[in-house]
Amino acid sequence: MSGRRLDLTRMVLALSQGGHDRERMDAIGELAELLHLEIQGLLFEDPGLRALAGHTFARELRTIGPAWSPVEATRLAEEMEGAAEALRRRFFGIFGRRRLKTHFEVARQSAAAAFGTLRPGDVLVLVEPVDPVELACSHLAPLPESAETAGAVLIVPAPLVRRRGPVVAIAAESGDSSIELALTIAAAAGERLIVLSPPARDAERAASAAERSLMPVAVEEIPFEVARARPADIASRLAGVNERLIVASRTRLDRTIGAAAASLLRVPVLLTGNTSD
Amino acid sequence: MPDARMDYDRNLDGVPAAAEERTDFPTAGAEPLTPERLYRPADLSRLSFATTADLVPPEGLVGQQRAREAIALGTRIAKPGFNLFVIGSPDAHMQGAVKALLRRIEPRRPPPCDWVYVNNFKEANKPAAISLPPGRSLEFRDAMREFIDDLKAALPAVFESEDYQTRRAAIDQRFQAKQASAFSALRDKAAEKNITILRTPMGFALAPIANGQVVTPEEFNAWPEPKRREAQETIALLEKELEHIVMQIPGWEKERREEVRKLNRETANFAVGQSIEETKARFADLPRILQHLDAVRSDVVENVGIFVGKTEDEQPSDPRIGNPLDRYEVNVVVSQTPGASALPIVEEPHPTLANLTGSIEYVSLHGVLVTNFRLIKAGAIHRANGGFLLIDVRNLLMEPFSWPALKRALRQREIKIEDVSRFVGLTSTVSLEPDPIPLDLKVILFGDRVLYYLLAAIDPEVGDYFKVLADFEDDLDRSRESEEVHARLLAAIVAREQLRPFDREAVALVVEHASRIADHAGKLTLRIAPLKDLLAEADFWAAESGRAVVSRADVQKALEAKEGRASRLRDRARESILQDVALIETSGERIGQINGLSVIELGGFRFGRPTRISCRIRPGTGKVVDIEREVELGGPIHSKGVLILSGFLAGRYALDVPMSLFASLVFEQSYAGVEGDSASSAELYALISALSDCPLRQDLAVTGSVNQYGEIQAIGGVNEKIEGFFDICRARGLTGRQGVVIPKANVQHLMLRGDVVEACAAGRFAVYAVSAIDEGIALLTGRPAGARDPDGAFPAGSVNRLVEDKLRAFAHVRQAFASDRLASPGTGAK
Repeated sequence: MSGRRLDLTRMVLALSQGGHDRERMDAIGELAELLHLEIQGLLFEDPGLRALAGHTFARELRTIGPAWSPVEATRLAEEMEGAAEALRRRFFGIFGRRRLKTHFEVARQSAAAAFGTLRPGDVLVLVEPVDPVELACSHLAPLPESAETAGAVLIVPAPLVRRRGPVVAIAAESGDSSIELALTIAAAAGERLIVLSPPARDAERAASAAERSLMPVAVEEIPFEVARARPADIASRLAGVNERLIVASRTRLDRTIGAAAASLLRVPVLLTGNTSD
Repeated sequence: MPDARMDYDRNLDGVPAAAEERTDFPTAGAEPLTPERLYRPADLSRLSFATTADLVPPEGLVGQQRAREAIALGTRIAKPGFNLFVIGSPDAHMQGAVKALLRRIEPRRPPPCDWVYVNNFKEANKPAAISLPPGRSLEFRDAMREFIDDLKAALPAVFESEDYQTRRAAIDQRFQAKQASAFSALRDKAAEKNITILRTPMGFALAPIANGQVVTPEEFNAWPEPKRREAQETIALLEKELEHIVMQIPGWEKERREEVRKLNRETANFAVGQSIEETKARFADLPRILQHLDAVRSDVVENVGIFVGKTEDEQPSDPRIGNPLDRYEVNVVVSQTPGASALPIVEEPHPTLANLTGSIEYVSLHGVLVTNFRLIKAGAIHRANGGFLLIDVRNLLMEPFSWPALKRALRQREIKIEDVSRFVGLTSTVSLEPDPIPLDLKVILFGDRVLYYLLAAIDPEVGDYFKVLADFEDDLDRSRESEEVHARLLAAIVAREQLRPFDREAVALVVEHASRIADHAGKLTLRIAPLKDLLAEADFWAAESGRAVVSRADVQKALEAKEGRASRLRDRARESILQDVALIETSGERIGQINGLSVIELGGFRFGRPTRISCRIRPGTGKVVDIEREVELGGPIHSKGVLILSGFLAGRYALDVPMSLFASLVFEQSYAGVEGDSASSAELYALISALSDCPLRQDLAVTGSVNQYGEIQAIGGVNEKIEGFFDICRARGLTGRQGVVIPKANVQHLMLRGDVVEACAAGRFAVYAVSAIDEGIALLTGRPAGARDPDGAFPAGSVNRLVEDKLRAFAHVRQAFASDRLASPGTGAK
């Protein structure tokens, strides 16, 4: 693998108290397994709720009923803890069955503060909320904005269209780090690797062909102008490929476009951060 | 009474001291049986063969005309209840013989069909049974597997297609847009008034905000009163709008689900359509299969989620179904060979309820026992349906629930799988009620006669369900022709068991042994098992001797070896006699003492043993006491035999005076139960000897029962009894005067051992046959028994006269005693 190391050690899965569907959680677990990463669940508690509990007029519309009832600080705290515990159980229920190291934590700080503590080898996993209510009421920032981190980000749209198929790398050049990561995933998953990259010069094409011949998976290159790529362009280029995952370097693919591409194609997009050469 | 005891001595080898023996016993006209009457050799002279390899096996059932006709009727009559109950000796090889007959039966009915169980999509606990033409069940099962495999690829593909995803996304987006629009509008409206919507663990709440953060209570309380009131009023208004939106969500969600379901149905129908039509085309001639395939199609369309992974629309899987896709499997319970001409013949050696009528198995799922239609297992009845089911009735009756279940199946003419654990209340889990399968079956039960008669007496329904009785003969009449058939039967066994061929002499000895097994010189046993064992053992000894052909010597060796293996008890009994532990005299005379003969059968081995029977008398009230009965060692038949003696005495002697005898009879040194009346003649001889004071010969042993008229009647085990006494005499030294007195009616049963026959032929031993007690008494005492003259008196000096005189004397004694008591009552009372 030309001596480069991926340096990814952990997936940090940002969770809120809304629903997280099994299908996407399984896809995340499978990817972590393929890359031999630990997985950390990080539940962001809404700080506004604790502030609300102190108001004498505060009441909540409980969806079971539905009916209004006063917000009592003790009961609210218990329900928040109960919800966190339920999520923790669900988290371990899904990921504990895999050969993964798993951790779960409740973050009471802001998302920005929590993301600031991420380690260089971390992959921040952002799961697109399914529930529009979740979107309207979430204390977390919308998805592209959430990806305000220097490290790798995995954007998981809702719903996923498929769990099998080739791995796609969008690379600006043949030495792009995303290719190595995509290659690792493809090899582990036993899938093909599709590389979307600018048309290469003869010498580069020859070098690329020689390198491909040593790779453990079938590789196909599709010429693509990465620099000004829009999600629709990516979708158009990948028509009929039936990919399972797109891997791109964040320096090559804007995070907003990456998130939009994930939503459009309904497959996860893994944006790599800075890699060590 | 003279002392009946005589000096008696023997050397340590058991050889009597010849000098002291009387040699002048007359036989009172009774002549020993000639050697020809002691053993009947086989006559195979007209059967041309060198070894059994040259013999053609006999056709059909040998000597079983009655059973053959019954089986022919039972197997051909197609009416309910005409099942067969085949009875006979346990080792008559009935099952094998009947099976061979059944194989030759030309089927008169169409070949039985295949049966499968499939899921009942409407009621999962009631699996549906479907019949198919022979051999097509496997085709159907494979077709369903192919169909499901196709769907496993086709359905995910179509649900991943751009078209589906687009349509699905459109539905989701419409729903989300409705919600998002409502919530966004409310959120924006609230934000304008510095209010935010919060998601609590259980619902929604509204709170005032400042600088994007929820205002804390302290901060809020620091606000001026009007501002606080305004915020609260705003929140109250917004709460109503929030409530309105939340109330609409379930309706929107329901609409979305309906749309998604409709889309899924359309998509699945499209994907399933071609595959199902292809499958249906293969079974277009089977309407029930087409009906099931339609049900499968509907179920696939309704539960497409199980093919395309978990979706929010997926129904929770029914644990009774197991793997969700298993519901489309086909459980082949009976599969016939296509084109097979023979009807199924099924033997069930272990007819438990489950093995008989099938079973429903369970698997443990999270600690709960669950089941489904795939766990239905066929029983022997399923496999035999349309043909014949062969069961040993003893095995059947030993299994709980099996006999009633078999009768139920025959009565209802359908196979209903019954869960034994439910009968005994071992499980309360939900079980299945599979469709019953129509039953068209001939059941053939095999068993001992005793079992059949017992069962028929206890269960009156036996005759309703087993109307045809096939009673296997134990033996066939012996003639030259039947001996030849028997020889061919032996040849068939030799061939079937792959034994070395037997030469003529060997075959002849086996045929003769067949007579011995039959206990009758005029019969040949049809009990195949002991003959088969003998042939196998003879084959072994031939192999040991390096012979390619089994000879008579090998058969003889096998007979002797078998007897030797089983004869430990016999040898111990013989040893105890020879060592004078058990007192048996084989020479001299004794009053009131005789050698009786008994047969002991243990573990299938029989041997004869002499037993001393003695009698003591005195005046009494006319009672003959059987000591065996008094101490409850005598069985009822034995007691009956003794009571007959009183009848004989009363009818023959001293008819004008009361019977004033007290006699006690005992089997000396007998410490176990005594049953049978074969010693009753010996007991009568002892009684007559005691009454007449005439000593009885101890060199003779006696067997035979007697009736009230003094006629000697046949007994069983005559060969063993003679041989038992012969062995003792030979061990002590044959004198030429020793022998056995048997009933004349038993002469036809004689098939004695070669050494006994040889000794008789040489005059060193004798077998006498008598038909009346007077013949026997003359032989045993050397005196004529005596017949009444025209005056009604027995001749003076005859045994009968002496008996009668003694009885009169006893009567007088009793009369005198009674008179004394009447004259001096006080004395009599002392």
